[in-house]
This record gives sequence, C-alpha cells and structure tokens, in this order.
Amino acid sequence: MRLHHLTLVLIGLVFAIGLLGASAPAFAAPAAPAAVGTPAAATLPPGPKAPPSGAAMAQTCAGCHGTDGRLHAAAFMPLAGMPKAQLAQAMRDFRDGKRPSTLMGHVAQGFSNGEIDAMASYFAAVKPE
Amino acid sequence: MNSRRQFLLASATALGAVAFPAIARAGQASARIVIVGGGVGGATAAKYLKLADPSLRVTVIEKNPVYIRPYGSSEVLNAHVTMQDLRVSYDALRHKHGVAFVFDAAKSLDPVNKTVTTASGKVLGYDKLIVSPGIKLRYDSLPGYSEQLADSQVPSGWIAGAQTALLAKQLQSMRDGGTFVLAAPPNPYRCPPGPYERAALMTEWFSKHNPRAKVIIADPKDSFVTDETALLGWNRLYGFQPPAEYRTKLAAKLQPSTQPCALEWIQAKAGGTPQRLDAKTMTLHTAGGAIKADVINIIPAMVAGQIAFDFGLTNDSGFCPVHRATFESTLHKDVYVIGDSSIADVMPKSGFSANTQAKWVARVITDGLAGRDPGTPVWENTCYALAGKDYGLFVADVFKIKDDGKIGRINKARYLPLDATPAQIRLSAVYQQAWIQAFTQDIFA
Repeated sequence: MRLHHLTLVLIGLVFAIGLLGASAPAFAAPAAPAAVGTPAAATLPPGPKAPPSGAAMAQTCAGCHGTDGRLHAAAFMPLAGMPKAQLAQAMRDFRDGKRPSTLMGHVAQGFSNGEIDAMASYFAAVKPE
Repeated sequence: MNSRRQFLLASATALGAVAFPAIARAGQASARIVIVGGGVGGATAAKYLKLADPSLRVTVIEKNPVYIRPYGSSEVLNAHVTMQDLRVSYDALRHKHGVAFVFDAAKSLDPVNKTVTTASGKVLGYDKLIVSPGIKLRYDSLPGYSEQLADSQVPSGWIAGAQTALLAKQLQSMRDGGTFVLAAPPNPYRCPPGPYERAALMTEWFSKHNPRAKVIIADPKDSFVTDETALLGWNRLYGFQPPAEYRTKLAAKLQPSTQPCALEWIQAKAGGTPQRLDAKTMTLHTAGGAIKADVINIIPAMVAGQIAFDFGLTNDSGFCPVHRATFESTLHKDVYVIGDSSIADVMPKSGFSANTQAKWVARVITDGLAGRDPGTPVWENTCYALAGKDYGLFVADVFKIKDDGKIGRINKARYLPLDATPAQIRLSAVYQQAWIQAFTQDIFA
C-alpha cells in the first residue's frame, strides 16, 4: 500500500519534471551517486530512500578510523587520502566475504555500491596529515 | 538641514533594508550553540560543530573539569588500567577547537526565552541547545539500596568515578575464596555487553590472584546482546556450561568441563532477579533465594540523566522522545537530545551511538543554519567487549530510518561469528584496546 503510493508519487515526479522540459531518462539514469550533494538533489524531497551524503557516512567511520580518516597510533587503517578505487574495493570485498575481517564485513553490509563509492570519494579527497 | 536629515534617514533606511539579510546571515554564522554535558555525546557535538563552522559560538556546560571515561572502565577492576588512565582532558576541545566550557551544573531550561541557567546562577542564551546528560542510576529501584550505600559500601561503578575505585579496591582485596555478586540491570541500560564483560574479567583476574573465588551474575533478564559469543568464550576460558537453550546452537563448539565453573550466571527464569539488598549482612535477596557475598556490585535500573527531567524533556518512559531524522526533542523546539537519554529505537545506549548521533546533530544544525538540506541520516554502533583479556567480542550495527519511521538496523550479521578463528578472536581483543584510543581521539583530540 505504502510502496504503491510512493511509486505513484515518483512516477508523478518524473512526469512533472518531464513536463518542465528536463529529460526524464537523464533524471532517472544517474539516480543516486550523481545526485549526492548536488544542488539539484536538495530541491527534491530527501525521502528515506535517498542515500546519505559521502560526508555523513564518512563521519560514522571516524569512531575507529579517526576524524576525517586521520588516525595516529592505533591498530586501524587511516582512511584519509586512500585512493577511491582501493577503499571502494576493500569495502565491497569485506561486504561480500571475499576478504576476511572481524567486524568490517558486518559494517560493510550496511552500504550499497553507490554509498560505498560516495564514502570512498569523500576520503580520497581528504589530505592525510 | 531638514531635508538633509530626511535624506540621511532615508538612506539609512535603505541601507538597513539592503544590509539586513547580510546581518542576518552573519548573525546565523555566529549562532550560539549551548551543549549540556561534556561526555561522549556533548564533546563529540562540540568538536564536530566547530570543525564544520569555526565561527559558531559553542559552549559546553559540564560540572566536572576532567572527563572520566566510562567505556573501558571495568579494566580498572582487573588492574589492567588505573583510574588515572580513565581521565580525559578537555584542553584540546578548548584550545585547539575553540570550544568554551562553563564548569558548572545545568539547572533549568527556559525554552521560550531560550536560556539555560546553571547552579551558580549563570544564564546562557542559545540559538540551538544540545542536551547529552547520559543516564541516571535509579539506586532506589532495589529495596535496601541507596546512593549513600553505593558511595560507601556496595558500589555500582556504572558511571565511572569514585565508585569504580572503591569497587576495584574491594575486589582486589577480597578474602581468599570469597564470593563476588554482580546484580545485572533490567533493560534498557547503558553499555549492553558491559555487566557481562565485567563479570568475565573478574573471573579471569580471580583465577590468577584468588583462585577459589566465585563470581555470580544475578540477572533480571534471560539473555543479553552478545550472549552466544560471550558464553562460548566463557566456556573456553573458564569451563562455563551455558543454560540449556544455548546448548543446541553452541553444542559442537562447547568443551566439556570436569570442574565447577567459578562463574555462574543466574537468569531471571532461574530466580536471578535481584529483589532486595541487605547491606548489613552483605546479602542479595533474589527471586530464587538469598546470596551471601563478600563484594556486591549493583548495576541498578537506569533512566535519562537528571538534567533531562529538570529540563522537561522526558516522557513516561523516563527517556526523551526525539524526531528521528534530527534528534530534536518532540517536546521543545531547537533542543536536541542525544546519547543514552534519547529514545533511539534499536540503537543501543552506547558511547558509539552517542558519538554518531552527535555528529548527525552537528550536521543538522550547521546545514540548517546555512540553509542546506542535511540529507538522509545514517548512524553506526560498534561495541567491543571482552570475555577475557585476550578474547574479544563485538556487536556492529549500521542504522537508518526505516519505512515505519523508526530507526532500524541495515546490516544482518552483528556479532563475532561462532566459528571465528583464534586469530579473529585475539584480533578483536587488540581492536578493543585500539578502539578505546581511537574513539577518545575522535571525541576529545
């Protein structure tokens, strides 16, 4: 019931944007990753299904991996400045059980590919100290 | 003259009209954020607010000039660390991040005029208020128990401080072959694996220093968060035999034991529920009978910190209802409640929860002041715990708001796997220690 309603609203939205002159496929295709943090995303109602921003997700890592991924003298991997592809692959491998871990596999289960990419972009842009 | 004055007035008005939005923006940029409580939640919020916008005027009201961290504080009891090791300075927050501190007790809230008054009569105005008062221990929830007894004879030590030191002294000097009883708390409470970690660490310590000593957990519950992995660890380390309902699942992994285990867990259904304390005879009366002990540690029922009650932020549950997407109180506008005092659905009352809630609220506030949308919230929790000094356990969670509007867990697996290798178990204990260090840095450095 709820889902059905949401679908109708979404279809309506896409249709309305189409009417306004924006191309519907272009809106639908890049969906999540491209929309994160762009001004265009802010004009849409956020909704619980929208992915969190890379920065918001990165903050949840900091309790172990250091503020902004900058970490001194601890057993965990500092994430600041890690190349995007390396971090994104590590998270996918943890999540899919291809790389053994203690709890990183569990944490990685909480994130989609798009979310992992957004997080990895965030950390790649942080200057390690 | 007259016309000149009129001209000046007119231009001043025009100037005013033009300048107003700029002034308003400047005013917002230096908004006053008051934070009540300098624990994990409050200190994290202060640091992350200043990182996001150094121009914010952030003031923390905290009654203690030094923080005594509760996470990892049971390691004072088994002499792994000292009370000194629990002390965390506010210096970096003050001098590196520019957070102002008022070392005083917060007394009352005026949500209409948006002020907080302290015990010494200081009045602080705010644009946004963050309240992170932790928990209040309901010493009166167990007949025969009181705060006075907790401070002098039967410590709780669940808010780290003098009671932690007292309990450590009692345990380390307990008579040869004595009995240590730990009364576990009812749900919900701060640090869900904590009481069981404490009992296990003392069992391990006694095995070396007081080998005939006994440890008994009297529990008003039948289960706890990390129970399966903890019970398996206790079996391996102390010869513990888990209750029947756990044996099926753990069967293949359990080791038989020939000796009675020094550690006993009395579930509610076995009569473990604490009912009354007789401090004179050092007896804990439970639903199943009386337990005479040499050292008793009562971890009583908990509600939101007293400040949450004084500020009118609690509901009938004794905790604080908040809008999930922002952690703004449903009872007072522009007041945010984070950490143990907030009602956050399946998020445990842990330091890690408070830490990620604080960061989210800092984002909600700074984005709100700048007219930006903070987007979709996400939170995490990681609790490391020990079954023994070198035997680590954990629970790990990622949270979002689910379709029912409540905070729900996204990941499926949460615990150390039951078939974890010895290396994973040992590494979890290494990470438990590393986490204390990294977590403290993220909050206070």
